[in-house]
Amino acid sequence: MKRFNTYDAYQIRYDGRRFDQIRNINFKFGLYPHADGSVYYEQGCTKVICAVYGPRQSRVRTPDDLCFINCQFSLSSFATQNKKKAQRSMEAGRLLERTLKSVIDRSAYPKTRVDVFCEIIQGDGSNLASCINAASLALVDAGIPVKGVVSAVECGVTRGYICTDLNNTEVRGNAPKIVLATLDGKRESIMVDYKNCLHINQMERMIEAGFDANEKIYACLREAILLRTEELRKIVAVKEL
Amino acid sequence: MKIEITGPIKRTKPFETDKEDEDIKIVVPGSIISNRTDFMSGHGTFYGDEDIIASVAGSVRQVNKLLTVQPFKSRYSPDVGDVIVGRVVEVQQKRWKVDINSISEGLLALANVSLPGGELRRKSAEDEMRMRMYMEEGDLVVAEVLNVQSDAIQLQARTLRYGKLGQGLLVKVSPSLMKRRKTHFHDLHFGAKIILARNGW
Repeated sequence: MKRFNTYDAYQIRYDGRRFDQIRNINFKFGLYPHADGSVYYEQGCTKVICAVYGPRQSRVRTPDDLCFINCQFSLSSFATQNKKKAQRSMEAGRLLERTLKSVIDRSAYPKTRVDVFCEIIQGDGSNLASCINAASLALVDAGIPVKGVVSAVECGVTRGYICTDLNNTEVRGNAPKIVLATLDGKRESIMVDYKNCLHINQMERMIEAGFDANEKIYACLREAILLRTEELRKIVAVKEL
Repeated sequence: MKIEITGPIKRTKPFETDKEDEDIKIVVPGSIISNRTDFMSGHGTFYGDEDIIASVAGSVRQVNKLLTVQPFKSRYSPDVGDVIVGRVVEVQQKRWKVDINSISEGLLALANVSLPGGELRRKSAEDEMRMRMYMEEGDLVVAEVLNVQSDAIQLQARTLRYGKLGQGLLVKVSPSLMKRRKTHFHDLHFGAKIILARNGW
């Protein structure tokens, strides 16, 4: 069986990036005016729409009356190359929920709920990582107090070389990959999701590469938030008569 | 034959920003505002290990030793005395639950409502049965915030200007655009009345 090589002899991946380069990040806030926070987020060709509603009244009661966080992660039927029925991934939704639970200050709003809806309209690899990035941007847009900005990246190993920010072709197959989420670009992980088999010696290098890529992604997200805050300030600022 | 074609009017910028606004410090969640010893943390901030860190994206405001960060867009947070417009979502035993676009629903107690007709009397058990005749689920009501607690927002509609709203149009805007003023009820010169509620409705 011929193995498809995702990089060439010059150690450049087939989409023109180096191993530690992340893809271009684009964003647009305020897509849904009736949602409290919403963002359209692109990481290369992976396009995600995220909407956040909350904090609002909740009928569901959690133990200790903390804020209830509900995450929905769905992949549109037209998102991947093979047309499938629209899927809702429970596992990815739970991972997203766990990441956001550690970041939102839940005791500040008892008996309320925060709903996060992520829809992938084009999935070109790093689906969960892009959703986490989009969700953290949407949370900040909604004005919900958070401990910091979460950034996430998906890294994998192909033939000994560690690639960060995988795209679709690199994600396919049984190459080992991790999704690593950090807070504020610091070198502490708040969520690690890991698939397939990996040699223990490679693990530390993968995590280091993930931290490096997260610093870059965090810088982009921070810039996005500053631009959005400036835009909102101009709308809200009124000359006092 | 003369044809005139018009397009949409070019939008002019509705507001101008003051020069003083340029000095306001904008922060991102997770950024350090100052060290812990000098200041206290207010809304929109929390204590880190040795410093005060912002938890929302907005402008930093300092009042004596208190640091707060005000987000430019968020759900309406009620203050006592605000005029608000809400929609009834539930009729309970002695109160109405009102959705006011805030973190929790508002509670309008039967005792805090003036009866139609302007009568002032203590509400009896029969009034409880007739609650639904006055206001049902889906009705719009204008009220004032009486009290704000951690899990409940109490409203009152005692004076004649507050109460159930009749025919009209509801327009929703962002709550951060509504500033507190002396009067929120205005009569327009061509006969219409307008209520500018603090929660953006």
